[in-house]
Amino acid sequence: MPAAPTLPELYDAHAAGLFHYFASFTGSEADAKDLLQEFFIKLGRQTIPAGIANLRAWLLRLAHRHAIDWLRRHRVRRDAEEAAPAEQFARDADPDQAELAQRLSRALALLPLEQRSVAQLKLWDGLTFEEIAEVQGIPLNTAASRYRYALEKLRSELRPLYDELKPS
Amino acid sequence: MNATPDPFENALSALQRRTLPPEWRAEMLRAAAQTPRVARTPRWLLAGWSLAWAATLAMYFTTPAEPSAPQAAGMSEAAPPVLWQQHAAAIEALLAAN
Repeated sequence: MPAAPTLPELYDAHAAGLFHYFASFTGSEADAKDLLQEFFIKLGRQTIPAGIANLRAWLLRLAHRHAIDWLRRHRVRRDAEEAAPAEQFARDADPDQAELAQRLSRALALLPLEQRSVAQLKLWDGLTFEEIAEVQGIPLNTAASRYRYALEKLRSELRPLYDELKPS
Repeated sequence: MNATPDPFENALSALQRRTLPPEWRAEMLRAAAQTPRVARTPRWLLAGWSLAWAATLAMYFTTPAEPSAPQAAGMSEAAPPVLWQQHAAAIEALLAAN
């Protein structure tokens, strides 16, 4: 059984992913940072069990509950849906990729919260639909259909640029 | 359910998300370390309580119920009013017959 990870180990391996997941809920970097800070304080208070098979999914499940609590507390769901996640992607030296990243951030901001958060988990955290369903406490088919809708919307928003960029 | 991603999905997931500012690490870990841990009930105590409850419930369900006390043969003070009325009527009938 693997030993329980320490807080610095968890931070190094998962903080960036957690931050972006929180940002998909809050729509603002400052709030996502606050959420991440609170989350690590919470983790620091509890004993992290040893032998968790999928640590990323376990953390994201806790993070999901934390984000939902935050939304309830702040009653900002509508704002979060309308706000643009700030600077989600690394700055790319290639101007085409930088343009794609910028447009993608805008397109993500247009998605409903449920679809955006599923897209985050699938595309950039590499979770399977089974894991997403477990993290968010939703049926497997719901996770898959939310992703499909999200992808179709992103495709239609980004199609002209993507068609230009894709290798023929 | 988890089909092979299409080129569009690949292009999106290939975009690198930005990393966190390095100063956040020390800031957040320091704040987390300064927060006192929540005192948790020790596991051995929880296990003890569970065992005690389980034993109590097991005894409750396995012990046969005490047999109920036999009904008093005669009419008690707690006899229902109908019986009192029947009793009084019988006495009156006897007196009337005599």
